Amino acid sequence: MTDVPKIVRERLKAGVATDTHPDANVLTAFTERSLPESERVFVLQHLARCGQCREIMSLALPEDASIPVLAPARSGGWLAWPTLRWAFVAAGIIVIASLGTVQYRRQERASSIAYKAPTPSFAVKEAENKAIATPVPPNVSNPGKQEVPKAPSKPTETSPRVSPATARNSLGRTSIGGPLSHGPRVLNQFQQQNANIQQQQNTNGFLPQSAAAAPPPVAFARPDANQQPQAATSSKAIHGDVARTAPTAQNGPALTVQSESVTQQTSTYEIAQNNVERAKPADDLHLSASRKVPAGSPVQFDTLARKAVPAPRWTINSSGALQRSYDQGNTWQDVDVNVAAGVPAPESSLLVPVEKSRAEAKDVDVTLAKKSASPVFRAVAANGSDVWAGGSSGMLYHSVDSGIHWTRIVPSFSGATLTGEVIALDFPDPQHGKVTTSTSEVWITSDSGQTWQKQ
Amino acid sequence: MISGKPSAAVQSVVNELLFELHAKSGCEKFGLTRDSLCVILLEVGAKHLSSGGAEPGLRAFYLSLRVDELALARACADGHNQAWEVFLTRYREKLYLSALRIAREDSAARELADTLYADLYGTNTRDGQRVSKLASYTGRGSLEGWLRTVLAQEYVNRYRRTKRLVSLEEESEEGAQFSAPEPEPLPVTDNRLAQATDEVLGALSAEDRMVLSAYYLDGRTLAEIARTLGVHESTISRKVDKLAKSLRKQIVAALTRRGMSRRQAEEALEVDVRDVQMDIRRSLTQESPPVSFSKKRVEAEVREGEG
Repeated sequence: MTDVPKIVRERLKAGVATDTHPDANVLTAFTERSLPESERVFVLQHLARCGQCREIMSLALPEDASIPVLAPARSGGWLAWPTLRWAFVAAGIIVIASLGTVQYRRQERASSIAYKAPTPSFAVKEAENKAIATPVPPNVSNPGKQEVPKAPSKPTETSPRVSPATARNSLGRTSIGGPLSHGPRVLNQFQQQNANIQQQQNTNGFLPQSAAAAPPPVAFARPDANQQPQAATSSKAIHGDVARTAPTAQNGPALTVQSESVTQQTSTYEIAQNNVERAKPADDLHLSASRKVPAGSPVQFDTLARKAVPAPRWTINSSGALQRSYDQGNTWQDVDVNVAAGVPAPESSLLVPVEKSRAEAKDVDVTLAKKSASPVFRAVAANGSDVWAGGSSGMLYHSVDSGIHWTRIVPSFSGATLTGEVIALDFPDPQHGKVTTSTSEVWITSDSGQTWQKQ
Repeated sequence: MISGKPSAAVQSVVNELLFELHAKSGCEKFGLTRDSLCVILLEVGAKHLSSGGAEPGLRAFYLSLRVDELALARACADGHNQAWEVFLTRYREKLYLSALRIAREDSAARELADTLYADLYGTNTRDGQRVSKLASYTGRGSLEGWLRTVLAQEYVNRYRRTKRLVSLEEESEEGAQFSAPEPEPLPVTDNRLAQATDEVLGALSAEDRMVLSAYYLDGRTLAEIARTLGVHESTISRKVDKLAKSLRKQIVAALTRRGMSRRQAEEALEVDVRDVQMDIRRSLTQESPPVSFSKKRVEAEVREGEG
């Protein structure tokens, strides 16, 4: 141990305490550390100068080191480093645990919100439970069923009433021929591919036999075969009589737009959005309010339940009524496109606001009666909540909220407007789309219908 | 800190805490009533508390008291037999062991313990009233610690009182070894050194100065100092070493501020040749333990008293 200069010892001795000696009670309390800080300092000052008191305290120490501590006399004991260091450790543990809990809950919420699209097996079961509808003549009274009949019948290749049945492909874009009641359906190359796929799937029990039995079952829409390649160029068209497989689970919520083979027993088609064979990135398939949703984001169906409600399915029944299902095709509701909208018409298109009224039609005839003033639809295409529907007399409707509100679109370009019946709709994403008419007109938009170009 | 009469704030706090302290003390079994306890608490407050104390401090003070041992001690001071039985059961043996540790001799320890015991019992009277040393116990520390402190005080006082009465021959017979008398310290020709040293020592905290004094003056061990202050021995070791190293630098700086050059200051602090010899002599000298009481000393005191 380092020694101190002699002068220090001498000066230490020279300092003699002149105040009164602390009594035994104070010295005892000092030894047992029960004095308040102010009093302790006073005792220390005396002890620094009084050798006698130092000696007394030294003698009064207990035999062992265990000195009873009566009370924490020093203030700020909780702020002492030994206590603080453990407080820091505890605080760090709490912070880490909190962050982990928050992260875990976020992941749980994201996974619970994300719609898990039915697996192919699930879709297969659905398809099996649903009758594959074949185009029925208009005079065939359809009991206005909301469900697809379970017993698919042999698809008929032709129908007195054929119309281009539109069905969404795996990307949910292309609409192909709709109900047979609207005319013959002509399969394009994509439809042929789909038919082949369905045929393969049918062997696994995915689809009814009738659905995948034959290639082009019925030609619906366009008598002009030249239009066939144009119907679905960027997407895989679903054959009118082929039920598309359901989207895979990895794509989350998706519209299943299935075109069913034309049968006599069914009059409804499901337009399924199948993302099994996708030509575009996954993000195009999903729905969002901004019309472009990154992959894995939840599907938005309407303005009220965009965040957690799965995207509805769309179909056109045999009477040309636009129908929507929120329960994966178990029940269908007629959609009235007469919805008030106040969007001004851009330069190249005319937006006609219409009123919307939603009503469930259980009877086709009733539906037809109700829809006497409604257009007869022949094609529908949906990208989540962004829905396009086209039909007779060049009527084209657009909804961004899963059919709650509709806007009539009249494409125009260089003074010319769309004429003819809309027989095919191809919208790979909410922005870009192609409309094909019965008069072989092809209209293209790249800004969600605000401007159009006629090819 | 000591005032003769309890202030109104003290009385208010005592009245507020009386129920709680009374329940804690268990004084009823020793024949002390609540009012008696209240009087005792006011006396303790008058002795240790200042008149301008804040209420939170007063509450903390009273709540820190060992009221159970205070009640026992005061009951013993009043001569309560049951209290004495409890006291003897608890503390008689401990009193002797503490005395033995202080005196380091069995006979001296018993004598010391018995002397104190008599004082505690109150063999002395004042104005016809028995005066018991236990009446001075205020409960600020444990009764056992207080008894040790009183024993130590008694021993130091007695040893200091009788030390001069023992001859050197007797001490030699007892085995004490003597070191050569320390030579007279060199007269300080330059007051600046003392002034600088006083300035540096005055800037030390009370605890640092107490540690230096206990270590360099009293010769206490680091363990004893650590136990006194309630810290670890290594803490005291580091403190002493740090203080010793910094004192020299600070004194040199103080001397330079007083006009000395650095070299002059360091030379002034250099250990003198005689200091070196003294250090060697000190290290060679066997450190004698405290001389214990002996019968001869007691006899010498008695003779002096008779004389």
